[in-house]
Amino acid sequence: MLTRKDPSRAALLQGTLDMLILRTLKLGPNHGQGIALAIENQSEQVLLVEHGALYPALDRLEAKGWIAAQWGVSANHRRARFYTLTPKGRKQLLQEMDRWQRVSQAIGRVLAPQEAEG
Amino acid sequence: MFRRRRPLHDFAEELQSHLALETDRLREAGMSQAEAERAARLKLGNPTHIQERFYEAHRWIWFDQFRQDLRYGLRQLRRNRGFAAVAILTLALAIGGNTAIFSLLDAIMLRPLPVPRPGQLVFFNWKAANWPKTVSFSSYGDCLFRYSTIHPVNSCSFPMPVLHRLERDRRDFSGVFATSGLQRFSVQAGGSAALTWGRFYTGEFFATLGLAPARGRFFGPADDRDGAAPVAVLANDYWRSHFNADPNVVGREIRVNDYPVKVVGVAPRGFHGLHLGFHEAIWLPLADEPLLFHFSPKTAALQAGGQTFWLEIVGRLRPHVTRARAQAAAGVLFEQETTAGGHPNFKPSDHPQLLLTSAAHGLRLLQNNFSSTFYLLLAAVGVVLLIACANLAGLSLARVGARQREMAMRLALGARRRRLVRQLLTESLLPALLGAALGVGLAYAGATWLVQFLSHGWFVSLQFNLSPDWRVLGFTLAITLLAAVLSGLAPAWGAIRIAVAPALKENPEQRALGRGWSAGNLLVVIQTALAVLMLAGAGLLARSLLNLETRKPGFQPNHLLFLRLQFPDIGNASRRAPASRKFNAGMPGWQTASELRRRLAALPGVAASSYAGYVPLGGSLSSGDIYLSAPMGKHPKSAGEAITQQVGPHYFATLGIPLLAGRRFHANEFAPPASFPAHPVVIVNQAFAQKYFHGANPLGARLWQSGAKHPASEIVGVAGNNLVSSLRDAVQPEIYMPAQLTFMAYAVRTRGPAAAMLPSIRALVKQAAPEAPIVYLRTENQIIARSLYQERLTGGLISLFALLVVALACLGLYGLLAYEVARRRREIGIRMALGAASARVERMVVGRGLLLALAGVAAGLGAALALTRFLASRLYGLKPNDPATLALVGLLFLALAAVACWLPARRAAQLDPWQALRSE
Repeated sequence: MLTRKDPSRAALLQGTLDMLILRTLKLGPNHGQGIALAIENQSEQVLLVEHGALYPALDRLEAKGWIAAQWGVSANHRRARFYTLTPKGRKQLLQEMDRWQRVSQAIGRVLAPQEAEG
Repeated sequence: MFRRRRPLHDFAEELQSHLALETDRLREAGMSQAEAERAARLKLGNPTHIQERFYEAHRWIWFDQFRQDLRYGLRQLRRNRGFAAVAILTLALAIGGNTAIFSLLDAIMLRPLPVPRPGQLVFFNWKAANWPKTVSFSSYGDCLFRYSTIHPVNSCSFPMPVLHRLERDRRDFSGVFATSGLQRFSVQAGGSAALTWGRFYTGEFFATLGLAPARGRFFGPADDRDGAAPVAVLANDYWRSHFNADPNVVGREIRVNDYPVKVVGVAPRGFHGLHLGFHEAIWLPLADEPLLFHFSPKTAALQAGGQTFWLEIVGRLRPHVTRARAQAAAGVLFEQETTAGGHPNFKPSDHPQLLLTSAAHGLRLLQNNFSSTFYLLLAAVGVVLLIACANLAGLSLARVGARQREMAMRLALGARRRRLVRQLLTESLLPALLGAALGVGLAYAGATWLVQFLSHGWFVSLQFNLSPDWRVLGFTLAITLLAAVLSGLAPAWGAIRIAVAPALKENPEQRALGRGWSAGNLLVVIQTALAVLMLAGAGLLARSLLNLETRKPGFQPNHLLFLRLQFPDIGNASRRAPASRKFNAGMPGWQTASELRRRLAALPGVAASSYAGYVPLGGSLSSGDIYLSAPMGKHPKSAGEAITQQVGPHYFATLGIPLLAGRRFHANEFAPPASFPAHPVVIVNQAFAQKYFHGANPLGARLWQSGAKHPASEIVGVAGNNLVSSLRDAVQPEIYMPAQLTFMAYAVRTRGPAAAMLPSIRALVKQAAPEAPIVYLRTENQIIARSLYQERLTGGLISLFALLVVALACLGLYGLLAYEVARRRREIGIRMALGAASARVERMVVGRGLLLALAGVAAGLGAALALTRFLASRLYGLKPNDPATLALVGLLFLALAAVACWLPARRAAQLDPWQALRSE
């Protein structure tokens, strides 16, 4: 099988996919495959986006009104559904990034207590 | 939940577009077209699965699945028509029965009175350590009345001064009114007089209830004063039915008890008085009562005083006043008035206490009469529902067993067990819903029939409001869901524990079901036990009904009928205090009344005619202390009590009571009731002679009656014993006196069937006493039947339910064994091929079934031993644990169970072993 587990790559943490999608779309409209690719590239191939989970997630974000969608044509002239960040989504992204930073700092302090003391 | 609808194909298209883009990318990275396509597909996963996730996120998925399950369930029902018919019918009967009984309970106990804020209305009761000192005491059945000489007593009857105290002190009550109980009025409006039900109320009645008149005005305190012109308010229904909804009825003069009364208003629609289920027609101010009932001034004065307890009191609490606070405050007034008023009724040591109960549902006359019967019936139909559920659970458990492969296949294909359970529960919901729909129709018909039956048995037509309200609908819905869950739980539990692999591999018919089987057994035992319990109850009730019906009353009830009239001027005399009787004595109606007896006796087809103070087995009697020596002093010691009956000429011949010794009354002993005779005579019954004379000859002996300052009566005859008020009575000492009073029921002994004489008697009354409406005209057998109506109702209905549940339990047993035989075809085939005789196979199956039946019968009889004591008050002539009845019930059920077992056993025994083995 092709999908041998690569120990250097990590599946996304629960709940982080939404934030990463919003963050990617902040750079500009993109289609689903493009979003997945962008996340993987920007994480220097560390983060692995499950394509099967991506589309239901996009649908969910669209339903919440954080992103909007429109059919368009891709760079290589394929028909694709392009997503854009809505103002509501932008606000949501700021909140999620803020929360993420607090959580990751907290986790960092737990994992390396000496540094936190120093 | 509801979102903009994005079509599924749009989502599918996006997935396709993704695959194309990803393939492009991978090809650019150097893969071949085929390799790239395959890699993109693998990375995306199963598109159908992703689409399902999309689909489920967009729909009311459970509703969708529910619809699927319903459709599937309907298909299943159509495929198993026999099962469907049994399931739907039994549930229809069970749910219908429960709804019918509950709607009756609702109609008399749970519906609020149709007045504003009924929750503020309270009903006044009292309790005390001893009976109050009174001249006269009336009770109307609206509270649980307890009279006792040793225990605390309670009642809801009050004297006038207590009402006046409450009326004056208005801190807690915005209104207080009183009434003197239900009355039968003779009302004449143009045509001939007709009897109708109504009440007297004090002036604040309508204002306290907060009603607004539909026409005219209500009466008020100004109309409720001595000397005020008599007025009446009509009930809306009565105005429509008897006055053709005449818009000019206000101001019209009608005659009530032959007295002119002015109609001042019509009550709003839907208000029928203070009893739920009983419609009153006319209301008058309490001050009119002495006038309309021809009370002597002395009686009227007595009623206004503190020595007569005769009023029921209702009040309306002010907003934010609790019942407890009002009770405490009014209780002080009550205690002061009754212990330290003008005529103290209680000693302070009696601790008279006032108790307020809610009057939101009206006065409790009907509740007191029917609620225990309704609760008993509700328990019975509850058991029917349980058995129906157990039965269905057993049947569907067997079906789930047969469907194990289907279930296992679904599980293997990825269905969750939760989903399977939901499907099975939905499948059991379907027959429950269909049954409920059918049952509601049955319930309405059943409840209507029940009300008719009760009206027939009671003294008056009852009008229960049976239109379903939210309580009835909620109750029905709740028991329907309960039925669905109870009957679906066992099969669903079975589905949870299916082991996928073996169920798929093996032929389910070969597999033992393991513990699923014991669930089936348990259900059959439960059904049997409940059915036996029900059968035991039915048997006890039926036997005591039989005991009552075959009891000899001591007179000849066939060819006997009774007639009661309401003469306008001597109408309700006997209802009143003794003082009023004397006042009635000189009334001209007496001539008509005694003449009527002679005319009845002269009718062709009549053998004899008489009259009496009360109708035998009609539910009433009067009794008093008797003295065998002249009563001396203030508190003479009485010899004991005896029933007293005033009778007319030829009474013993008319009723067919044998005269055992002495003589009958002479004609000259029936003097007009102007004065007491100089030499009174009495006839006593055999029980009297035995109790007070111990077998010695009582003829010529003298006795004195309670309170009588009159000469002693001489015993001139001894009559046979007879039952007086009901078939349940023990034989008691009784005294017959020549009637001094004309308010009587006429007894008529006919030569042919009594019912055939009713029309000619009715015609005679119309001609001979046109001013006297007929209160009733019934054969004695009708009167006896009526006296047993509650026994007939409960006995009949519970027997009917018992038949139903016994049939269900046998069906359950049969179904279980038939299923087991079908499942074990192969095993039985092998046994027979190896030489087992078919009789042995038959024994094996029957034995297994009878074992279950025995377990159920034992459990059922055990439950009966524990529970039948709740029937004790309804039984006659046998103990609640009557061994003969219980044994008979057990044997009867076992016999039926044997038949139910034998049918599948025979099928097993007739099995062709070769065919059974080859069919695998």
